[in-house]
Amino acid sequence: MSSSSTTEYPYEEGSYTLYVTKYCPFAQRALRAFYAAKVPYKLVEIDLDNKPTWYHLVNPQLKVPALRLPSGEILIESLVISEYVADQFPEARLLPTDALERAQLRLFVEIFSSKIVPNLYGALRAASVEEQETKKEGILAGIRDASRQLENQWKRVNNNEGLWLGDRVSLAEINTVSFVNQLAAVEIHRGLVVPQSQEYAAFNKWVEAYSARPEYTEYSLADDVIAEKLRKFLA
Amino acid sequence: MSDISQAYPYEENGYTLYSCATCPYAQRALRAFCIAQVPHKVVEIDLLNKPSWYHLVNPQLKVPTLRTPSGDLLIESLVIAEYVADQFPKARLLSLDALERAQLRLFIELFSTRISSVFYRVLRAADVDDQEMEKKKLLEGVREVSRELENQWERESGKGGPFWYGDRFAYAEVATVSFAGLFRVLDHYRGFQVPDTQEYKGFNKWFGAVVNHPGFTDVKPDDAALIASYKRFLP
Repeated sequence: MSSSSTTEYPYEEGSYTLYVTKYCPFAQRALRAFYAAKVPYKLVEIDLDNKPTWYHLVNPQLKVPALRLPSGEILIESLVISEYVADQFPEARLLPTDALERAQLRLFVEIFSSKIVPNLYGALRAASVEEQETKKEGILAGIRDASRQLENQWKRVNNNEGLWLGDRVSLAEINTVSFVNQLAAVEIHRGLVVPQSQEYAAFNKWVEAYSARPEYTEYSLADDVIAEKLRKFLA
Repeated sequence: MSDISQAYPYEENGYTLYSCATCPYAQRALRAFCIAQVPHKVVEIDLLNKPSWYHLVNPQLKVPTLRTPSGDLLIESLVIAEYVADQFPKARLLSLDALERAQLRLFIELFSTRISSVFYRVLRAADVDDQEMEKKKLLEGVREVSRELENQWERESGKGGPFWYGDRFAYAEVATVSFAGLFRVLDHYRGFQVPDTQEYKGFNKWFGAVVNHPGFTDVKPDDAALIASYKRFLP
């Protein structure tokens, strides 16, 4: 990796540079997008507990991920970065081209951002058992919603191989699966159990389908590693 | 418009937008349709007295919701606005270039977190000290947005302004101007105004152009109604 003496932060000349922390679920969205689109890039790992002094030059908010383009522009925000990859590399087909299908995919991703993720961290942070139970129920309600949307989606695409778009990975998985992985911490620390009943069947099928894909396994973490990483959120 | 046997009112073979004139989120959807010049039927929902059938349209009981001619229901203001941009590409609401789209999304995110969210905190703050603190944060947000606008106007897609895409009122405005319109509410309840100094130049240039554009004025709720609708946020 090169950096000229006039630059103040490391990057790869003429290429993409992705600043990430491998265990961060937000950064994993960017990692999976690049993997799925098969786009080469230089990875710069950021230790979130000991950030390099130059990192504010890349992202003043000091968060990961951040993406430096070959042209020198920098993008932040995991969803903006994964969508940039989908737009810039349309041959990877990470998003459908139809307007309605794109909207429905975005709404599926939104369930995770708005219902599952806040309750995931909420359950860990909650001090009382009562509050933990409320947050766990919030996660399950989000999962049931996701399950219904998967059922509707599979009727529309008439393809039952288990991924949102049927047989191929898209932003529907790229933007969400790291958070499903994180649920292991709520299972281990807070006793969350995702039932096997009908209301959760489509979700469980989807999890089984993507779990076999390298786009998932390349960056997924073992349950006990996740549980340890998220221990710091426990009340 | 509606057949009495329908479970909920909608326009047959057309777009139906369930909206509320004073809601800034609903205005995003309305503006997208208006700027793209797509015919649509508006069904006004009184948020303080929701029709008994509205849960059939949106179980979360929020606005906006869009019913497409095919009978699909979409929620989330930005998902709806982006659907319009995708479905009606001739309206050129949103650039097709991946980097330009990413930069626009980051602008919308910046506006939302540094201006729109802070509005509500200024209104809700109970004591004068808290109000002053939130007002300071709001001014900081306006300065940041101001700088971003000026950065954009140096780019080819911004060509000198005054709108994000130069002389065209388009997606960036659709997503943000209803919140900019809330400055009127803050002036009324909290005596807040954006100064006319150098640091706010970009914002004032943009806002000055926005308030005179039909894209803003055509969908603007009447001042008195808008001000009244925000009374409930006061402590």
